[in-house]
Amino acid sequence: MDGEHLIYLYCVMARPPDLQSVEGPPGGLYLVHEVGLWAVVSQVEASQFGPSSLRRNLEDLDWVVAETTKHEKIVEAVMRDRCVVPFRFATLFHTDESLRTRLRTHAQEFMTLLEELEDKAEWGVKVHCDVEGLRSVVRAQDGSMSHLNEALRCASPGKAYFLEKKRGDLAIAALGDRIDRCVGRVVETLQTVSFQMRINKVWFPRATRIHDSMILNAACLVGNDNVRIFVDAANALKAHYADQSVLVEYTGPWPPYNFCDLARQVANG
Amino acid sequence: MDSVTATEKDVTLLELLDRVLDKGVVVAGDLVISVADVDLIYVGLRVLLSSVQTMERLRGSPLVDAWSESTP
Repeated sequence: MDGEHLIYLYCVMARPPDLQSVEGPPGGLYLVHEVGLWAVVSQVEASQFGPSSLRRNLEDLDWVVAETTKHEKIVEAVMRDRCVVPFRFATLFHTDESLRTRLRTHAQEFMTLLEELEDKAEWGVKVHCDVEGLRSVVRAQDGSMSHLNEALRCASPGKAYFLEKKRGDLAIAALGDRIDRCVGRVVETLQTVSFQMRINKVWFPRATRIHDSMILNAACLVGNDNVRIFVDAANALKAHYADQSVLVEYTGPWPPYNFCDLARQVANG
Repeated sequence: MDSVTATEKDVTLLELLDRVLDKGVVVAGDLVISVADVDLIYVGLRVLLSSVQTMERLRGSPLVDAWSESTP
């Protein structure tokens, strides 16, 4: 595959961007234009991005970090003054022509989506809970538990076994309830300050910090004029849960990756 | 419990990967990346990303089981 090239797609928009100000890969960025759509692409070596090479490269974390960072920087730079449909990492086409064909096929959907995304950006909200800490909070506030604790103190060994089990079950249920309520409140609040919201899979427990579990991984599509309101709402939630072993974190603005299912359709044919 | 702690930089990186990579990324000790048709590629990062629970499943068994195991 040496010497062969593939076309790497970063994003699509309805007006041509100024690529002069965007730092691209060694071969440079260029535009593929079709039916009122402009796609920012670059040529990449098949020896790097061809299926078998990509598979191998993905095992190399340094490569993954360097390449995904480049990808993000390019999309963000274009997004500064254009509404874009961002594509995910390593969306590849064999030729400009095969990309044109996809753009033509989905032209109307791109136009509709770009209108929806105009003047909006994605914000990420993640909620973590310190499970042990939250367990203590629940234990301290739950009246039925203290009642059980009392009963346990004067119970016979046989009865104590069942009471113990009941206490354990109650504790788990109370914890689950507490988390549900917290997630529900965060989701409801953020929905009122977002155009759309996506709930994503949570990261594996212990991913980010010891003893922490992620309980919500949401993406919000927020109007650029509404950012202040969104951030205030997120900060209010953060403050509300601060002493309950629940941490609310937000990041943004991001390209609206989570609101471009069309990009996935186009990438997958 | 595993003594893996991600630094601030890792968290930012993971935020990026969470978005830019097409599918979820899974980890248990090692990072497993799934991109488009490329499945389960191991990367030597001792951190994270998931794939299993959605909000609807929060009350489901996996997470609760994991917690109850550590119940004193």
